[in-house]
Amino acid sequence: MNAYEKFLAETRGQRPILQLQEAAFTTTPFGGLGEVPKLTSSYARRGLTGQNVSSGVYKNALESYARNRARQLGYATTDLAEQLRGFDLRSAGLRQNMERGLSDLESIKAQQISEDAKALLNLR
Amino acid sequence: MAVIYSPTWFNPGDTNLGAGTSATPANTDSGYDWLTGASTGTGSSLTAYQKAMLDLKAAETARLATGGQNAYNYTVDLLNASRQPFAGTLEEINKQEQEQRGFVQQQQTNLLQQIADRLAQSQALTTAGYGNLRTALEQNAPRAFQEAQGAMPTITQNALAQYMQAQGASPEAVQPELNRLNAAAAGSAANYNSLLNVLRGAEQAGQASRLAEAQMGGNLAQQQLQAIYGTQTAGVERGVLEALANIAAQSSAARIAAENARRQRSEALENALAALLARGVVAQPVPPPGSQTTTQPPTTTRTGSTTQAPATTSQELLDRGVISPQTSPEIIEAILSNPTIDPGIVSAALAQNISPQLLDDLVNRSSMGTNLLMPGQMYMF
Repeated sequence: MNAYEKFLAETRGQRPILQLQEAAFTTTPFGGLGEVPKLTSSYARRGLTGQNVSSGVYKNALESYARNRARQLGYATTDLAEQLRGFDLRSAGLRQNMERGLSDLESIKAQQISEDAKALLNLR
Repeated sequence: MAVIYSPTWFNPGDTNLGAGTSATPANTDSGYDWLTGASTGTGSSLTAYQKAMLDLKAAETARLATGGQNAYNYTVDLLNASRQPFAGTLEEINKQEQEQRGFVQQQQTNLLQQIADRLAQSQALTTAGYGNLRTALEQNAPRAFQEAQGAMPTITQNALAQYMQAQGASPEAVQPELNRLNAAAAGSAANYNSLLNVLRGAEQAGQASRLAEAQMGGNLAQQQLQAIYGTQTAGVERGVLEALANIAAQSSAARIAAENARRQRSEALENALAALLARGVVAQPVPPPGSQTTTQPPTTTRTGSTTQAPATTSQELLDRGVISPQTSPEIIEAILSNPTIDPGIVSAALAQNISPQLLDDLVNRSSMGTNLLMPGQMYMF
């Protein structure tokens, strides 16, 4: 159960990361441009970029986009990793409970043997 | 302890030889001649009747004497036998006591051995149980957090670096943001790893605690087994002591009962002897078995110059002609106790049908030289 939930969480966590990664250059399902070409074309229409054209405004905008994209990807990746750690921790806790239960069974068995030994000795 | 039996006295009616006759007997030497009626003139029929009665009385007396003697001898034999300790009974009591004590001690040995065997079995079970527990705990130590994966810091890839470089923008502008994100990711991973370390420590502490608990449980179980063993052993010992005490008490009671029975038997036989003597069917007082008989020294008679030892038995009196077989035991007793008495006085006493007490008085007076019982006279006392 925990493993399945972890699988689902990983799937859900990877989705925004993949979307962020693809959103930069991949076109949308309706034929729209990716975010980077869209950004470049908008600055190109204003003559701020193109062949033999290099403006500081465009570079700043591109760097700003890159920082935001990196931040979003970082957050998404961190969130996914922490969520997966939670599942790992839960899994370790469940395993510990199982091991504790097995140890309890062994202790109860030894105690029962002790009680049987006392009952055996009490037979007269 | 020997018991000296004294003769008992008779019923005066038993010596009713004269039948209270008012006739004055003739002065004869034997004292019995007057019964013949030859000199009294009272009639031959009465004389014959009295003679017949005397014969019957004599026969009865003889039977009583013989039967009494036989009964006396038989009773004395029984008494002698009864004075011996009940060796068979006491031996049986001792034997039973030894057997019972042996049985109890054997039971004690068996019970203690059984308890010891069970203790060994219980200890082996307990040792094996807690040994297996320890082995299982050691082989299956909790390692859930020990084996949990530690967190690795996230490294964010800069996929736009090449494009930015182509566009003339510097990819290095993104690096500060990447460094910040990586630091945050590293901090998160470090926190997670710290948490894992804490949990691993608790896990190890729990394992050590459980092992200690198993060890304490095993020790406690062994101590409980020892306590049960001690209790059971003490119970067996207490039961054995009680059983031995009961056996001793029962044996003592049995010995006392046997001794009481022996004494009661002896007393009954002694009472029977006393009854025989009291009835006077035995000729003389007979010392009880085992007692010392005393003999009187010989004395001289008062009338003759020749010395003759006084008679000590009725048979001697009979042999000397002092008494007849019909003489009552009381009269014989009086003669034996007073060897100097004049047999004539005794005959007179017979004729007068006097009581034993008066006869003693007469004997005493006779010994003083006063013959108060003269034939043909009526004496009133």
